[in-house]
Formats: sequence, C-alpha cells, structure tokens
Amino acid sequence: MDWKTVWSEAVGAAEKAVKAKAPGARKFVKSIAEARKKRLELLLLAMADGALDEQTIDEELKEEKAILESEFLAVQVMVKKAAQDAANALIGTIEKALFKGIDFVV
Amino acid sequence: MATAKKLLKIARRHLNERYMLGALAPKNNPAWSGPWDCAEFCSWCVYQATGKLFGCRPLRGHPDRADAYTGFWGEDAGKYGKIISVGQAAATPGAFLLRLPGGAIGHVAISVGDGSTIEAHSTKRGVIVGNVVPRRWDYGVLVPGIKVSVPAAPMPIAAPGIVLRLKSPRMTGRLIKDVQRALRDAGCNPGPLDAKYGPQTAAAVRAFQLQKGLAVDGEVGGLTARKLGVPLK
Repeated sequence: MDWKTVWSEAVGAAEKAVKAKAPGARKFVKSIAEARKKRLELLLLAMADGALDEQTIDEELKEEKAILESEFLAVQVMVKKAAQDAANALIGTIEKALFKGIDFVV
Repeated sequence: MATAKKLLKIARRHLNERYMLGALAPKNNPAWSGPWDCAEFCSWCVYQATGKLFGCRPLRGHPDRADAYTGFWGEDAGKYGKIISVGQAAATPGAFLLRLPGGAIGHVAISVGDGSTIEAHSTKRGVIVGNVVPRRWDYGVLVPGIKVSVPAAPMPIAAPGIVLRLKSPRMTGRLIKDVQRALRDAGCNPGPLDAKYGPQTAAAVRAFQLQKGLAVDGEVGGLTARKLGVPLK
C-alpha cells in the first residue's frame, strides 16, 4: 500500500473516532493531523532505509500519539475519550500498515 | 490581573538586546536591558507584568537574585500554571512555549498568538521575533496572573522533521553514527561512534552549536544537521 492511501485511511479513522462522541470537533481533526504528516512520513522513511532503529521509531510514534491527543483535546468542543480514540486510530492505522509494508514516492 | 497585551508590550521593548547563556536578570529592575537567556527573559517579563516570580528559584526569595531556568518553568507550569498544547499556545497571545531541558538545554518563548514568538534566542541573534515552527516544543504554558484569551481550536502547527536528541530510551541508528562522525570531524568529541544519542553526543552537539553561533540546545534538527553536513531526509 502506498503512503498516500495509508495516510488517507489513518485520517479517516481518526475522523470516524471523533464523529460519534464529539461531532463538532470532527472538522478540526484533518487540519491538526495534516500538520504532523510530513514528520510521520520522515520517520517511516528513516526506518525503511535503516537510518533509525525500529525501537527509536516506536518511541517517536508513541510521542506523536500523545501530541496528537493533546492537540485534538485542545479543540473546545472535544471530549477526552474522543481525542484519545482519534489519536489511537490514526497512529494505529499507520502501525498496522507498517507491518504489511508501505511504499513511498520519494 | 495583567493582560497578554501588557506582557507583549514589555517583551517587545527588549528586541535586539544581547543574549548570554546563564545570565541573571534582576526581575525587579524595570530598567534591565540584558544580557538575557531565554528563561531569564521570560521570567523577567512575567515579573514586570504581574509582580510575581515564575520559573525561578527561590520562588519566594529576593526577585533580584531569583534564578530562572527552563526546568523550573516545567515544574511551575505543572504546579501553578496551566499546561496547554503547542498548537493552542501558538494561537494564544501571552502564552508560553516550553521545551524542557531533559538532560540538555531547554528553551522558553512568549507566544504572540499568530505563530510568532518573542524570545531570547541565541548569542548570535539576541532577543528576536521568532517563529513557533519548525521547532520542537514539549507544551504550552499559561502563567497565573496573565489574562489570556484561548481560541476555540489550536493552530495547526507543522511538526519539525526528525529531531535527534537525548531521551530515554536512547535514540539509535545509522543516522546518529553519521552525526557522531561529523561532530568528531568538526573537532567536537562525541565519545565512541556507537550510534547511540547519549549525553556525550548531546554535549558535543552543544559545543558544535556554540562554535557555529546556532541556538544551543543539544538537539540535531534541520539546521544543525545541515551545518554538520548530515542530511535528515
């Protein structure tokens, strides 16, 4: 699967997670996530070409999840559970795709 | 209660003044004009706006001798202030942006609310109007006694790319070995070329940044990497 598709699915999963619990916050999810996209891509690329070890990437992804959660939660109409679920869904989708392998267009 | 506008007005008066790492600013001296370091600048501005010490030790001592430090900013943020997200701080005039020292050198800046900052940046640049991006921050801080208006949604802040830094567990990989080799070639001893970003590597990065007039934080982001000739993709 290519990175563009993985990303689109990851953002979709985050939006879906927010939809039921905090519908008013859904419109902010994409823009907040997009701000992290390039960094996530760079991290995955660094892992793919062996520049950074897998454990280091795992730790960075954990940190990204926490950052995403705090940014989602900063939306006034967001609730904590929805922010957690959205961050988990986004990073979880990427991690699942990592197992299968992601194609990057560099 | 002081307003964000007052805080920013105080800070702006000191643009272009001199930076010196480890400088001590007497917080109760309104005529002080530097030298500053990042934490001294922010704590001094807070004191001038509110009459209260924040991010200093001793917190209840003489304001002219209270020493400001990013580590104290982190402690006070949790105890007396309010921790907010980086995107929220970037959109809130009068909020602060904090990068914790974490074994290296932290940084703190005042948010203007439009994605820019006022901060005591480095020896080379002094007190400047900077940008929230593309840099690594840990979180935003609201300081008690400063009235701010927090927006309904955070500003989407473009994340920095890869930032090699001292953390636990240690960052490891070929890229770190490349950085260590470049540091050694530049005359800054990173210790063994073991591909682990440990304290000795962080110290060598600080020495390199000082040598090149960069902001000294012990972290390898885009700018430091470029100066080292090690591309972070």
